[in-house]
Amino acid sequence: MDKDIEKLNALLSMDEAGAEIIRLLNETLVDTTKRNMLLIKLNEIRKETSVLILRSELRFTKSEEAVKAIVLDSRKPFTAQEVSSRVGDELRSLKHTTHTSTVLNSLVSKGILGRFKLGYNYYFTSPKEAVNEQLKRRQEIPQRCSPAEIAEETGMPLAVVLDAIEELMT
Amino acid sequence: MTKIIVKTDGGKVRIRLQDEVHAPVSAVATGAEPLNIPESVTARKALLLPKRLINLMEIRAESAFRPKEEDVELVYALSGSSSVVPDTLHKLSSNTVVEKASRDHIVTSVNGMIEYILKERGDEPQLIVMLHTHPQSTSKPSKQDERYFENAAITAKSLCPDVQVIFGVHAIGSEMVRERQETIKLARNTIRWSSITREHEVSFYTSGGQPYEVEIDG
Repeated sequence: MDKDIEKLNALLSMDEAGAEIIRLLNETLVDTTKRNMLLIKLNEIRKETSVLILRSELRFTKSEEAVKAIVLDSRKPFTAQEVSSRVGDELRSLKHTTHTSTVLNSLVSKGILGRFKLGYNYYFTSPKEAVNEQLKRRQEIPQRCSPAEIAEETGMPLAVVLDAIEELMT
Repeated sequence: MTKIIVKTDGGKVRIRLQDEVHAPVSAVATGAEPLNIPESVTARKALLLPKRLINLMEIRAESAFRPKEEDVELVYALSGSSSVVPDTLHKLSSNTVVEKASRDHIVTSVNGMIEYILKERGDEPQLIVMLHTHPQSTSKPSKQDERYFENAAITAKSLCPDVQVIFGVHAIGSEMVRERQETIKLARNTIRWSSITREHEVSFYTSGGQPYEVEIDG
């Protein structure tokens, strides 16, 4: 534990937001409820990031591969119904919009696709375009935005939202 | 390796590029790449617009639209420490800048705009581009716009004597899902692109209402 404390101390000293992180931790750790919430959130973050590390090694089903290719090969966003109508005859289950919708939403939660709502419909596109659209709806810009709320609204992992924001800024 | 740094400031999230200069918290700098201005741009006195800034212009212009509400004009500005390359976008959404906005009209305070720009930058810019949107219309200025250009340039120059002031009219089409189209130079002073929901066309003008050349960087 001593070594971990030393390491934490060094990391916080080097971090330009170190003082702010220390202040937030102090505020949180003195309150048992907040301390419990912090521990849960930290474990959620660890779980989420471990999925992301493995993102490049993700295996996809035939349905997922087909749906992913339809959405990412296009420069236009699609609804589940539009994706369904573009699927070839070899994947008959995807002719049902409900199944296509399940596959699309699964790809969103894995951080492969992005999603935004326009009118009554959900549209599926690249994570970068989905974050771009959500920024407009929130009247925000990449430099001053709410990544956690965007992640919640789009159903995408927070780390993928941050990657998309980085892409928009560079 | 991630290139962004996240900070929070009173609960608000601020994000900047790791290699970006430490700008004031409210500044909206788009990166701190060394300026590499092509000779053709300086010789012709064209405006060199980085693609990243064009993306911010898209976000800013489209953020005005609310479902079931009338589309209204909005203003924003670009500024730069060089007289030809803008490096910062200013949202200018405060009601000290915008006094009144409707579908075809916007009343703004140029003093308020310049004050905001100076505050956000922390230094006096060499370039200010004042833009306003034309929802579902063209990027051609009206007679009223031209009168505004003249008066606004005089006010801006009185506050920042060395600044180059240019004006822009940002036309935006109606909302419809479409293919993204990359930015192209449509005419000497006009660029056009499409987001996945709206068409954009922006034209630039001098304070006298003459076309001002634009080039796309990147």
